[in-house]
Amino acid sequence: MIRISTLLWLGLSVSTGSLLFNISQQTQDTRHQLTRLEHNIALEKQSLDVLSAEWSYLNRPARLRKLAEKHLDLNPIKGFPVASKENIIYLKKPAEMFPDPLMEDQNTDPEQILFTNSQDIQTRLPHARPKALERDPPGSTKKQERPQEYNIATPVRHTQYSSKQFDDVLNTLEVN
Amino acid sequence: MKSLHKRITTLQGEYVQNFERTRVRLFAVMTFFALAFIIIGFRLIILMGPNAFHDGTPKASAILSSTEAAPRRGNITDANGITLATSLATRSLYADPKYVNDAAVLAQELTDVFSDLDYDDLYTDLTKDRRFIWIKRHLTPKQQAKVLKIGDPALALQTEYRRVYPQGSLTAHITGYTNTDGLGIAGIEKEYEKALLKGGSDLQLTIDTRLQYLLKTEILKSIREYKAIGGSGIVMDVRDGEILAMVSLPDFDPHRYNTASENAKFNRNTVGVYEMGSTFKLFSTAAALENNTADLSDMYDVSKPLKVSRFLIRDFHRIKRPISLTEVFVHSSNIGTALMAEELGTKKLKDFYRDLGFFSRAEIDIPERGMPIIPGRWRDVTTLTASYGHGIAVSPMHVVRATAAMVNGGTLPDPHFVKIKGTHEKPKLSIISPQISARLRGLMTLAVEEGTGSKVKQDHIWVGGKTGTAEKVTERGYTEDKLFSSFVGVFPSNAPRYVILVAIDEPKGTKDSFGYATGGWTSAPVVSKVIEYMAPMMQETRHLTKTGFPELEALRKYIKEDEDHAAF
Repeated sequence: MIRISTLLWLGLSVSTGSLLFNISQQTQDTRHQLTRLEHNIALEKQSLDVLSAEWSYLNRPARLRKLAEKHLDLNPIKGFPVASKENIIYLKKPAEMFPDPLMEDQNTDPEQILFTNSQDIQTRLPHARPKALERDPPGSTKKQERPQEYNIATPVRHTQYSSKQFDDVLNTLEVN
Repeated sequence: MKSLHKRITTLQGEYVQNFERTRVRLFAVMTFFALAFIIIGFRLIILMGPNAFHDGTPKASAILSSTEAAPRRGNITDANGITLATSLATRSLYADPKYVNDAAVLAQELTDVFSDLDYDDLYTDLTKDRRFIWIKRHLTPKQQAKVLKIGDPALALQTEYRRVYPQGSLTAHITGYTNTDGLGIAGIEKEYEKALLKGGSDLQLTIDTRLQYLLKTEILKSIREYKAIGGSGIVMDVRDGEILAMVSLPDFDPHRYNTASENAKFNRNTVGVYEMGSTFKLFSTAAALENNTADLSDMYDVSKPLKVSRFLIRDFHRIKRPISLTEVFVHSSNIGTALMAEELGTKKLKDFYRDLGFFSRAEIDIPERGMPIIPGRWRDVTTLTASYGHGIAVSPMHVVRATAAMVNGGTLPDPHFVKIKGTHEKPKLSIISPQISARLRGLMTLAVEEGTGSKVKQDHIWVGGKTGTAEKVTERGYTEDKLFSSFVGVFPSNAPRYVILVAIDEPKGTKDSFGYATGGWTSAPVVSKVIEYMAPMMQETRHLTKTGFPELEALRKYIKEDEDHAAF
């Protein structure tokens, strides 16, 4: 009897001990992993800080201005209307012409502004046309003919168009 | 064994007693040991449990053999989220002289890496009887690699945070700067030290970096053109006091604040106080209208200089006929304004100026705030000169705030740099009535359309404003060749959103300006350019056109156009 109970207790204590040892080892491992992860997160955060600082540095207005002047043919916009009210063509149902599957309610705004009189823009905003468009395409020797005049016979407003009529309107926008 | 047992069981009397005693003792000892083992066992379980090996902070791993320093300071961003100030982790090198083997060799090796360190100083430091000496703060990655190559056991690295201002000098006067230990010593960095350091949270300013740049480049152009010694400018929202841009030139690099001159670090907008000149006519006229001592139709004789005791009040451009108060403002007549102030009286003007905050430091959330200069004894002649901005010196920030109150319907806003989150309604201090405010808007617009501020006139947006040209006081008294020329403008002046003040310090007239260096020539074009670029940029002013402006039209009948006045 004594031997059996001794063995039982011995077995129990050994198994408890080893279980405890295992758990503590696992805890240690997890702890190390956590430290490593925390360290990596800290490093990532540090690089994020560096990157956002660099982003801000690269976006200095002075630098952007210099780059824009070098690479873009854009001028600062002026604060005035580019087209007068009479020169705006309204389209009753633009959704018919350009169905947009993503737009749910397509008929909310029947008076969508689509075109303005280009001549009006050209005279009021001589710089509105990017210089890049004037350049010859690479390889061509012939200088591209630049459209000189734009004309819309009569500005039409508040008229319902069919797609056929719309084509006609587009045609009137062509160069004479 | 068996025989012994038999013998014991047959024992009698005294022996039995001894045996019993032994058993009790044995049991006591066993219980004691059992308890001890149980306690030790529990302790072991606790030690090996989930919190084992954890002393609260994770130990720095072997890769980063450096210790963590002070907590990280929060970032400062502009209104659009552009970083204006951030803290980047760097390594700083220190040594423990106790572990130095050969100070001479180590000092030589270190001076090879850091050319700016002095060998002798380093040697004395390394041989000192101390446990900690800084060798170099904020190493570059290259320097760090070289130091690791030296591999001396006395050397160690510590992680520190270095304050970086990606926009450089552009916002230096606003953000301020921190010292080597990362403590704010100027600007927002100082004012919001607790929030940045303890909270570690990010701070969003109301500044728009694009406008800041626009304002700076335009002021710089004017300074160069008129060979001025400095310039300043503020753009503020008239309704809630948000500062969108604030420029003080010359400025400095906040990373090298210790080598910057005091002149560059001087904030002309909040610390500098100046006699602002004619821009004050806006406030004295408002005081007269609010107190009902004058009306815009009242006529004043400005043909002769005004003599008050030993002072002589003169006009820049002499007008040889009686003019209305409207014309006094539009053509900026000192004589007319002084006559108007005489009717108003000293007490009412002083009270009005006090209400506008001219007698106390500027209301703004940076520590650099200058005290206005008010005459110790306010005589009656002071009232006259103060009505056109002489004899009283305030900061440009004072003027911007007061101008906002003149045009926004009459309430004094609280200028601030840090975006206020949420809406906590503060009782607004009302200075003038909305009706008077509307008349002043018309008056300021008329000064631009017909008077001294004509260079600010825009084709597509209503702009109002007032020029100001003050002679600076030198040892020889007021001098004509040292001017402080300013312009304060509001736009769109029929429904004001922004107030812009630009001041150029000591401009010299040029051939193009016919020798003039007044506010209308030097500062007004700056304001004009800023409005021209800014109006299409801001959401609220993007689609505006010059629509009807009844307050302006109502004033036109008070001005005569028979004379040809130079526009400044």
